[in-house]
Amino acid sequence: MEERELLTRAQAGDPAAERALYDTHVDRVYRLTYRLAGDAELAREFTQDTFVRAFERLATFRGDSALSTWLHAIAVSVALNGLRKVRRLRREVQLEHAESLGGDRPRSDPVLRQRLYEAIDKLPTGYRTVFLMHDLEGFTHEEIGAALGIEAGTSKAQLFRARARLRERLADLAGAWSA
Amino acid sequence: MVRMTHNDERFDAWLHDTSADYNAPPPNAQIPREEMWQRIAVARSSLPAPRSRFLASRIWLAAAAGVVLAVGIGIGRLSDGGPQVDSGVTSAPDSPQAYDVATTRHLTSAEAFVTAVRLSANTQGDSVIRRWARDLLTDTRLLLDSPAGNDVPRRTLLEDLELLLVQMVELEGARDDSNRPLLDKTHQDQLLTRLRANVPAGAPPARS
Repeated sequence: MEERELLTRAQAGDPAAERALYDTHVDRVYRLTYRLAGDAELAREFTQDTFVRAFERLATFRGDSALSTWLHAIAVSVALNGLRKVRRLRREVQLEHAESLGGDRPRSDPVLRQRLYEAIDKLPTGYRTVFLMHDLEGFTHEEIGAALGIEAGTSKAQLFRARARLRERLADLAGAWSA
Repeated sequence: MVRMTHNDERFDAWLHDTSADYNAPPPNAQIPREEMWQRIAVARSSLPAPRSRFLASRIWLAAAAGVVLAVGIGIGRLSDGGPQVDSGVTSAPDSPQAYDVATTRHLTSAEAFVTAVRLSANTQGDSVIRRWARDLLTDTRLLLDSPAGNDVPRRTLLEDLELLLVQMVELEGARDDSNRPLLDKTHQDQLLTRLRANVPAGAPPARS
């Protein structure tokens, strides 16, 4: 069945159509929220919230963009808002430093990899989001722009700056990639 | 125009390879689709009518309901025992009907909670469930201390609910399962049945 037909049926309240739409999109939403959160439990919560919000607002979706784009926009919004709250909470209870949320990361990472991860953690939110979506999850600049509400050109510029910022922060490890 | 140097290109290639494992999600086959779907269904069933566009998650719903309930009961108490001042403003739920409405809403939310607990494979590890339990516990105690707690069968139900919620909250951070038998499925089943029996059909602001 075409997605448009599923969408129409889901908007009319057909649970089977809702489930079919969920099955189609859940993996990519989960992967995106996982990349942003770095934590299985948070990724699950953000994915759930994304679909709860999406189904509640489905009647207002007019199809001006692809459903996937609309879902990814909700997912990014849910995840970034959620991460802000988590960081605030962590600052309050003085747990680990606020920027790193990578609870599920292996602890045996080599120094180089760990330095890179920390540098990615410290990127400004906009740069980091574009970098993760483009370089790690394979979104196009057009898709990123639509999801974040920015021009595709802005997405490209932010990716360029993100990479430049990482290069700058890892300058002392230049031998690792120039070898 | 910024020109990429050979070194920059090497860096980008290295970055691409090395960052692939950053916050790497599990393989698609391990994504907990069913578990998330069940929780989405529970969360949606606890939301108010679709026209409410601001209460998008069950956490926010629980928090908002808690505030409304607390304010309502607080005003009700003031108007019950405090000095009567005619402020010219229509006041507060000091009628038994107001407490009935508050109790029904609370029991509806509690029913959704117990359902979520039953669906959750690991209640100790579920922060959403724990937060929800804390919010419901506060509201349950407010209701027990209000005129809503004067009705004996309802009070018994609220006390049993309080017991379950206290255990849920106390389990937070507990490493062993020593309290686990108190939370078994039979207790949850019985409580769920009684909660449903106390929620009039059509009354709750829930969606199916």
